Amino acid sequence: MDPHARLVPHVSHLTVLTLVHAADLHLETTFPDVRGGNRRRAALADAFVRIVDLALERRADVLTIGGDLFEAQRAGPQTARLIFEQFARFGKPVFVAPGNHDPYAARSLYARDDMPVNVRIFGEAAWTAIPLADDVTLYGFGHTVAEPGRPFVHARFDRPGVRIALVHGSDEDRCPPEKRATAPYRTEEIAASGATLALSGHYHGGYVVEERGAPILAYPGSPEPIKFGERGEHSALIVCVEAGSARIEAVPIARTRLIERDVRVDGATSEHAVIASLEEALADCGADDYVRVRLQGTIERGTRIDRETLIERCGTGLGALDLHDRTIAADYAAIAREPNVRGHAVRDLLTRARAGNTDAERALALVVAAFEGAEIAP
Amino acid sequence: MKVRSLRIGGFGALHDRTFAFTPGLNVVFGPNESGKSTIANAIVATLYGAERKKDAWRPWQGGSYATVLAYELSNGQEIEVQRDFERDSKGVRVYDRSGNDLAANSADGKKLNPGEAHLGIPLDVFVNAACVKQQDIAIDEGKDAAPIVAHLARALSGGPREDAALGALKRLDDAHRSYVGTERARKNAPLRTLRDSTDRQAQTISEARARLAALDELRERIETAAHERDRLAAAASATERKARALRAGTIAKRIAALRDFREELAELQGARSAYADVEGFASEREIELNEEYHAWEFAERTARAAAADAAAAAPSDAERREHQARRADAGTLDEVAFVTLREVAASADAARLAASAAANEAAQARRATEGASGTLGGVLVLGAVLLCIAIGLAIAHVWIWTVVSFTFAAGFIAIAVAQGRGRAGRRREATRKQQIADDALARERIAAQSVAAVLDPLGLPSFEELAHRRQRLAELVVRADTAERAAERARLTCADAESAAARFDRRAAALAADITGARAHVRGAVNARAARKRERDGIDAHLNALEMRKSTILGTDDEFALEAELDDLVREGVTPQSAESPNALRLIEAERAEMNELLRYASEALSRLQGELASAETGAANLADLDECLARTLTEVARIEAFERAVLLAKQTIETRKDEAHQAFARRLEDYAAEALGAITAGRYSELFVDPATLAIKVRVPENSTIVELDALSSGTRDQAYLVVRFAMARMFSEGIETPPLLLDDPFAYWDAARVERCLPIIVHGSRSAQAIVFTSSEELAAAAVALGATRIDLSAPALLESTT
Repeated sequence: MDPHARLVPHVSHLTVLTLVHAADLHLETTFPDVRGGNRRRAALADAFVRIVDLALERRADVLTIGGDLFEAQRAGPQTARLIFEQFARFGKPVFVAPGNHDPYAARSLYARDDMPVNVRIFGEAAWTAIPLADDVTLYGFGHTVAEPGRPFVHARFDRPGVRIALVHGSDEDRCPPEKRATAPYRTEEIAASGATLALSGHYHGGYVVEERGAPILAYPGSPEPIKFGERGEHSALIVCVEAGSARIEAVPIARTRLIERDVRVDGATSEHAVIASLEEALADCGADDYVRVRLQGTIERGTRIDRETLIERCGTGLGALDLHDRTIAADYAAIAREPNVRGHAVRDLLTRARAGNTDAERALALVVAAFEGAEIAP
Repeated sequence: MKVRSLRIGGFGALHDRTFAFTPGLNVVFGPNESGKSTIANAIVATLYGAERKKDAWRPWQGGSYATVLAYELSNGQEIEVQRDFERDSKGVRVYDRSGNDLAANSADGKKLNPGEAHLGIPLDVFVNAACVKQQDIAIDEGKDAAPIVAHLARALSGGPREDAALGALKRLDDAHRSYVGTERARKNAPLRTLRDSTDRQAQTISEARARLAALDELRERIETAAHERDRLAAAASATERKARALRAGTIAKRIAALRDFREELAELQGARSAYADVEGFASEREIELNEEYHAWEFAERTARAAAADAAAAAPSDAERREHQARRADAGTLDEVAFVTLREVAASADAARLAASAAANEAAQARRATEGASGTLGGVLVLGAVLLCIAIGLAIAHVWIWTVVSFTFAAGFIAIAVAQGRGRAGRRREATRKQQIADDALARERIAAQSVAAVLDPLGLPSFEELAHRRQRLAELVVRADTAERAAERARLTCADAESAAARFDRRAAALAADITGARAHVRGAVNARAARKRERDGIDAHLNALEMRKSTILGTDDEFALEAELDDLVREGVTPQSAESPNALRLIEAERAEMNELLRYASEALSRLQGELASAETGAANLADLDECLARTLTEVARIEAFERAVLLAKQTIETRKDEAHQAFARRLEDYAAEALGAITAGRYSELFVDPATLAIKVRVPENSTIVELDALSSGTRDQAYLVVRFAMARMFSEGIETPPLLLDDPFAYWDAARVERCLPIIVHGSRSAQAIVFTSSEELAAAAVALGATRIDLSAPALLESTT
């Protein structure tokens, strides 16, 4: 039997072709910013299973993965087993366009012999056409260890019918300024290439770009949030190709939430008051929520804020709690006016802190605490 | 701090005494050994504890070793310190006006130390800054000045309610030591521990990653091993198929060979039955018979040849007769006589020949002599003529011609003489030869007579005839001998032939008695019979060879088993294949065995690698978890490093500002002291300089505008300056921390009245801001102080509480 025979869905007689598209699972990624990494990794694996469940439930003909399925640096035997089992469980064709975190390489998990036969990996940084039906063609572009360049610049998709491009890269029009674009493209380039729709991956916050009422670029987002500050959906996309056009439905997959909150504790005179404010702020958070809290405001001198104690006290019912103490325990401006060593020192540091020196900002609190005989701790 | 009262239960020489002090200047007057210094020490000991001088101040008269000191702080708080020196630090009680125990507020660590708590300065600073012993008004510079400097700076930088820079620096140092650690610390070095932990975690991650990479390598090896196993399996399978085909082919060939064997066997066995008649014939003896026959045949031929030779060698009758005749004539002479006769005949012949030769030579000599005589005469005549001519010419005096003629004449005459001599010699030779010839003829005659005497009786004409007949006789003798020998040989060979014939006959009779006839016939019949026997033997040998061929074909196999195996192979679809070489099957089976062995090794290697992979996969580390741990540790390291940077920045900032404060306190101290000193010295010394580190004091001398050390001035001026600086320090303490009371223990004991008069206003002036207690035995000083408003406390008075304003 031809091992690739199962890669062609044989749906030429059907009027609708259904694809489930997901990306950026980042299995085996690390979560150094907040605790609970193991649970979040397990949540990612669960999300992967739910995506396959969704594909089976919707009787999808094809499952596509838009890269960054796993972290190549850490993918071990268990990762391979999970991925292979789920792909095999789906049973129908699976197409994977490796991303910058899981590039195709000779020793990659993608290159293993025991990969299920229904899986096709686009192992080259060049477009490969796979006809899914008489009038539907899937074009795949994979990342290798080398920089892939701009995928759509010289691409010309000319097969008849709907042309779906599967790729992992950055939508340059929406790339955050502080981020470096990976395999970048613009919607104009996608349109110019002849692609009807680009199913992509890379951005953890999913979105769909439409042109003339039809989707042209879709990011499903990571199935679970990976980092704080991600905007957009965390979903899998149901793509229905019918009568020469595609419809996209985003199905939320995420169960965990990454929450950032600023909690004001102005005037707190004791640790108890701080805890009370914190508990109130976190009242709506549960075990699947990973929360980063910044304590803000000016507190009374001597009010103890022990990070570990607060995390232990208020983070029990949460996935994890990360606490950043940004409170101020003294009126630095007033102290700076004192005609003594403390006043002079605070004035010096205040000047430097206002100039953006974070060390001076920390040193301010230390100087005040040192003169007051308060506890000095990192 | 203003000391209000001191009650002494027992302290040194004093016992059960109470002293009251006013906030300003107090003069404690008393003679020597009255206890002035004891009071000063009691105040200090009550504030700071006795510690090492505990036994020195133990009450002389026994009783309780205790004091009670009441004082008022600059914030109006009234304090009473009760100290039981016997109980050391546990014997301290500090009460406020309401009787509250202020131990908590006056605690310095575990030790209650009201002096340090309320004055804000330690004992050594208080003693050096505020206590002046007898004749020791000067301030100790250098090492002892450092604490004073520090606390002056602290007073200047902070104040009583806040800690000062040194405390802050110490706390920052402590925090740095606790949370960051120091370079040299072995145990408490959190940052280094964290960094070490980071290194260890990185190492662990690196190892885990290497193990993960090793898994990939292992998978590659498994893939390679699987490919090798599959390749070997395919090769083994092909070899197996080829071996089975060859096996089938070989079996088929063997079965065909067996079939051929059987057919040939039947044919041979049929042929063999036709040779039953020669079954017992000893064909091996045919050779012997043939040898006997050949021996007989040869002997027969030899006998016949010998007989022919003997017949040919036999002499004829004529020869026999001639033999008889020659024996009668020539045979009569024996060999010696014949030889002698031959010699004689030979000598006669020789003599005849010699005579003939000599006669010839003599005749020739004679002819030569006769021919030479004519020539001699002519030459002689010619010579004589020429001589005559020469004589005539000589006479004519023709000398030349005379000589020529004479010469020729002489020559001719000489020739003639020579010829004459030769002719005479030849004549003598001829005579001699002739004589020889005559002698030889004589010897020939004698010999011829001797020969004739022998031959004549035999009737022989010459010796040569005799020799001829003797030779003929010898030939006839030889011929007779030859004929005799030939006859003998003929007899012998005939006997041999007969013997050989007998032997052949015997041999033939033994071998084939039934065959009779001529020997050649017998031999031919025997040979024919032997040939048949050999043919039969050949058939037998062929049969044996056939048997061997069967063994070769079958070996240890069973024929039916082979047929069954072939049927099975054919049924399994194996097409019999004929081997290219006889060893093909063996080679292919060896190859198959080798392939199977290699396949087994490859399968085992693959299983082993798969086991290794399974084991390694089971133990694969959770890299994400490790990375997270490392990231958290690195974050913690970064946090501590940020803390360290902040601490160092805070320290650096405070240090900078503290140093500036030191400079500032020095300037302020200078200002305060210079102001007072200028007033005391009527403006003479209005510039005073204090080293902020050592408290070394200098002043500017107005006469030459130079700055000089205080020691270079007079002792009075120096003491005044020190006194001024002490009060200035007290003023500074009052501004920042708490004003300590100034305890001047008889500092002017040996001062003259004029100097006391100059210094007293300083004390009075200073006591307005800092309480001053002057202990003196000088009535004049006490009186002068009292005159200036001081409170006098008289130690000589027996009352419990004596004070006079």
